[in-house]
Amino acid sequence: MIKFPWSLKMQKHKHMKNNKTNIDPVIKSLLEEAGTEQPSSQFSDKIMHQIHEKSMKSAFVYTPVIGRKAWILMALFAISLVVYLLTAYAGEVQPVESYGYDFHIDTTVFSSLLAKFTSLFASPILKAAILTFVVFTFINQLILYWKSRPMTN
Amino acid sequence: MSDQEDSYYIKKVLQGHVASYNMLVERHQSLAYTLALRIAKNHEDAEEIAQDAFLKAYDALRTFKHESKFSTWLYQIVYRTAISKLRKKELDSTSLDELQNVGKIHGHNLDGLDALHTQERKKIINEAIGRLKENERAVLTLFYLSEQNIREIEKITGYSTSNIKTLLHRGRNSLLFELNKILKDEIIDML
Repeated sequence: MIKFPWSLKMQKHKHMKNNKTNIDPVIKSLLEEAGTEQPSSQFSDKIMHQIHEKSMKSAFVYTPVIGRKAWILMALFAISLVVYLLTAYAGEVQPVESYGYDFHIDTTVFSSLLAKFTSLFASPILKAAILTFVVFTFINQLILYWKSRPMTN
Repeated sequence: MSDQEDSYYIKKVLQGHVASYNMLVERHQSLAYTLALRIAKNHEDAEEIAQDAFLKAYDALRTFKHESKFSTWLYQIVYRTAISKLRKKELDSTSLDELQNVGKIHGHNLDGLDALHTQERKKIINEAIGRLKENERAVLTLFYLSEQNIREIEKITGYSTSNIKTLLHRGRNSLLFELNKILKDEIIDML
């Protein structure tokens, strides 16, 4: 048994006396004795200060009247409207009467534009490039979502 | 620390009473800081980790679903913040060698520890804890000090039940082994 000559106060772990005893209570008492550590006295003040600063900043954050989703919906509506107009009236000559004069709007220009536009997608390379771009964008969005997910509890 | 009290303060914070978060910080700062310190082994880093964790917890408080204790959720954030900081800074470059004779150390002789002053004993125990591997230190601290059960430690660390049991077993043995080693070194120094 080891004894230090300069020992003044004896604090015995009764479990240490018996080597055959389960070590679990020994470890528990050791860790309890080591105890918890205290952060600096300003610890909670620093955290609360940062939180207050954050909340002050967020109070003055610019929030647009029309949100991102609304813009996307509006863009989709505009695109679908243009596509509909291009396809519905392609090839027709529309008469428009105004102030007694007969105007004719030649919409055949739309059909030729549409034909040119659709012919672009006939290329297999372009098709593959678009598909790759869509797939990579999707994967990128998935990764970003995964990284920004909240902690589980 | 009652979980009901935590829930009360969380509700207050979510209702817009930001100052109530201070109560949550005060209640959990000691164990959160101790866990951070056990992983980082450095007071400065531990304080930074604990602070970051509390700020992250505040930002994500709305996502806390009360499916576990607030402390479990908070320690999960502390643990992950500490590990990622450790990986970034490579603080723990001096890893301990695998203990070959872990199974042989049951015949521990810690009688020397009895004879030491309280402060000296605390210092030696902390030194021995500091010599353990980071995951052993974290698991022992969570299990014995913050009294989290194995399922909760599983959530905090992301380890499986069997991994945690192995870490606990190895951690216990390694702690006794290191204590014996330190005490023997002390005697040699005195001679």
